[in-house]
Amino acid sequence: MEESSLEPIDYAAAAATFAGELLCHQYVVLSPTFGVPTFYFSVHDSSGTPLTLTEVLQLPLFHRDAFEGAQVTTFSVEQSCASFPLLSFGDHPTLNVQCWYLHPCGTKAAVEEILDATEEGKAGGEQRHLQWLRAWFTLLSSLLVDLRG
Amino acid sequence: MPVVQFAPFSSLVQPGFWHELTRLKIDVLRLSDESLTVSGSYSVGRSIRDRETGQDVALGCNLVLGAAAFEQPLQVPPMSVTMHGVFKNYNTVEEFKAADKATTFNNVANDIWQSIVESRDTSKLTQFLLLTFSDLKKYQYYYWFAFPAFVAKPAWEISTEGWRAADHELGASQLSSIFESLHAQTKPFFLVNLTGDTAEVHSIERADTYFASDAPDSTIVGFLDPSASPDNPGWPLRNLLMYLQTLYPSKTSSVRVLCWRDGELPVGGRSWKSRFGIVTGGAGQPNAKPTAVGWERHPATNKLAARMADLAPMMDPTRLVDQAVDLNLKLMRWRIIPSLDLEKVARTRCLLLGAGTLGCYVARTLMGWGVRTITLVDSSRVSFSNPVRQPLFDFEDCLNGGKPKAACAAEHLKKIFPGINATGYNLLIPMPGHPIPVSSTEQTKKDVALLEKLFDEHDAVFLLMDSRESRWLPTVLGAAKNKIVLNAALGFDTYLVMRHGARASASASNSQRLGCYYCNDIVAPADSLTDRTLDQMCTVTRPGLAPIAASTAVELLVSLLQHPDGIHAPPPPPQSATANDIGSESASNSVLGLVPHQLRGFLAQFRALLVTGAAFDGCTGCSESVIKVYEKEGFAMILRACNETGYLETLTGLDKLHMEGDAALESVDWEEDE
Repeated sequence: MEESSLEPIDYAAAAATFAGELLCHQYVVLSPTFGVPTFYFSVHDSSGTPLTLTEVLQLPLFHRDAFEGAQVTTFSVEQSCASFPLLSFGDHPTLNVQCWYLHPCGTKAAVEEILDATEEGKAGGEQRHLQWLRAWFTLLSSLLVDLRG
Repeated sequence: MPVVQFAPFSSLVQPGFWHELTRLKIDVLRLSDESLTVSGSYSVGRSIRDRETGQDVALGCNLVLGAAAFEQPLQVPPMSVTMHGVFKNYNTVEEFKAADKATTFNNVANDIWQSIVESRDTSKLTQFLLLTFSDLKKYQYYYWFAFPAFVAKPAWEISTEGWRAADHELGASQLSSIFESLHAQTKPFFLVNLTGDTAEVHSIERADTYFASDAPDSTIVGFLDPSASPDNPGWPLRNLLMYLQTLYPSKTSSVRVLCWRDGELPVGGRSWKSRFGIVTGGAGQPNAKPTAVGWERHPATNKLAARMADLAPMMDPTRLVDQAVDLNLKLMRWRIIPSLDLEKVARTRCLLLGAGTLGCYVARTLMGWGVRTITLVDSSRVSFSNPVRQPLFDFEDCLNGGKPKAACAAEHLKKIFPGINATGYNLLIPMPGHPIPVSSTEQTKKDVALLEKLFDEHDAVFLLMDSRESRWLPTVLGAAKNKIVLNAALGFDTYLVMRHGARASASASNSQRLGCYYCNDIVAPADSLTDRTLDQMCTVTRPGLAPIAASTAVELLVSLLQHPDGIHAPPPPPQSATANDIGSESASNSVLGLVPHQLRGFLAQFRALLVTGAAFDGCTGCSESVIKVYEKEGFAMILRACNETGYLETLTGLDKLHMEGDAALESVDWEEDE
């Protein structure tokens, strides 16, 4: 599709400096089925092409061993839900876009384990909600490298 | 002085834009190629700090188009501005390629020029062009952006001090005032009038007032700069300068420029990002329309070429299934056995001889492992008793005489998983003990040639037929071509699953060669099928047996594939004769565990025995004497084996073995008790 003679050389245009950037949209959504916060994200390149699974897993977004189970010690795989997949693909609950998401089935147990281990975690009422969210973000940061990007 | 190098726009399309275009094309545009208006937005230039080097990496000068691009007006947050473009979608890729792009580009540029010269307004300075072709079957979108910018002759030059940080020229409170004003009402182009400690922001259309003032140094031309590169102002400045030069030729031989790049007030000791510079340019011919440039270059090659967005992986249902199946398998690997080589399994081409109970279950389990090529061979048709035990057939397949099994099974595989490469062949495999009638010789020759070709084109062969002698020819072919051969056979409540050993001539001389199906037999395969009673004809087995045997055969294959020695993998050492020693580290293990030679299962005891059988030099199936004759004489040899009784015994020396055996028996002095 090349048309090299379409226009003359432009000496006032700077050379392209940045190529290969990816756009990642990240969301925290309440899972309608599990009733816990769930991390959703979508990634695409500058042409709007979404990344394939292999490319998603190589993103610097995740710790290198995020999906080997070894690092994620507080995620216990429960009998009651399917063991796989840790990473799922599906519709965003409200935005009608397709996203990857971290499966929420083990979240409740994992967060409660964290809460039980700390003093603040044993708080009640509104404080408990705050501590719950804090614990959830701690859990998330064990998988994701830098939530603030 | 150096020529100003402007940072070109870099398009950033979101997947939603393509989805919306698809919907528009299907519902509204259809075949129309009328031009539409699309809107995108850009914001201040941003950099990201590279965590490893500590350096700031400037992001591109991005124009973002999303799902809302076709709506007017486009809502944008503060510190972002909209950009409108002319959009044209072509109906075929030929039209897209052949389109007169230069003329279309010039029309857009003319439009901008008219807005400068006649309307004297800046609203079209950033007008762009977008050409597309959407291939809705493949979910691929070809597109090309152009950002027309007028070429200044002579080119604009930057002063010798170059571009510098804005806070070297303006005070912090002045910058803050500008920020507040822009935040409240973001403008792409504006004028800054400095008064004492503060600064006022005015619309660029009021330039004549400020250019006429007595204090030229207090007038600065500003624009929202999408570039983050320290020495390269963003593309919008080009047309802005052309606008100013055209309308105010005497006042713009030198222009003080503020490249606004602060989306937020700097906090925490960070500095202002905006840049300042003084550009100069000789006045050209103000009313002659200048040439314009600005086609986007392909980011990978930097050539003038269209780009393509491939949304098939996320939109094509077949690709979605592909991804989902892969996802399952990959997770198994990451979570449990990182060194599992799934790609090796997926690309192992499997040939299944027999599309009955064993064939159906083997095919299903192979698909579960992600195997992409499965070929089935069977000579019979689906009968009414089949569907309940053979999970690739339905009731409908039995009607009207029954569909040919192999092709029917292959079709079902495709219904389950469209990405599978499944084929079925209706083929009768010639067998020793079943003479081939002269009238069928030609056809049988063709069938054998096809079978040989299938062997060549596959990596692993499963022998899943229902008789002993039908396995002979595939054994010979598998041995001759050194293919991985897996054999599964059922009794009423017992099963055999085994892998054939490698060919003698392909194995190291000191290695213990493993046997084939016939190695333990001193009787050559013969007719076991004629004159059977009904219960002998139908292989009556406990229904649970076939799935167990079939899946065991597949798991044996996969374990073999994971072994570094492949077909030459040694059998497990004798002490692991039961299936309990999975954890032992041994050269005979693959990452999945043992790679036994044979498994004999006894359903009545829910038990399986691991057996190792050595190869027999006089074997009618895999010995070198047989293979060599086959390689030399081909079909003629097969014909003799099927037609002549005793041919195989003579060839392998089994007849002599029998004679020796008989003689030994004769010579035993049976003692008789008195």
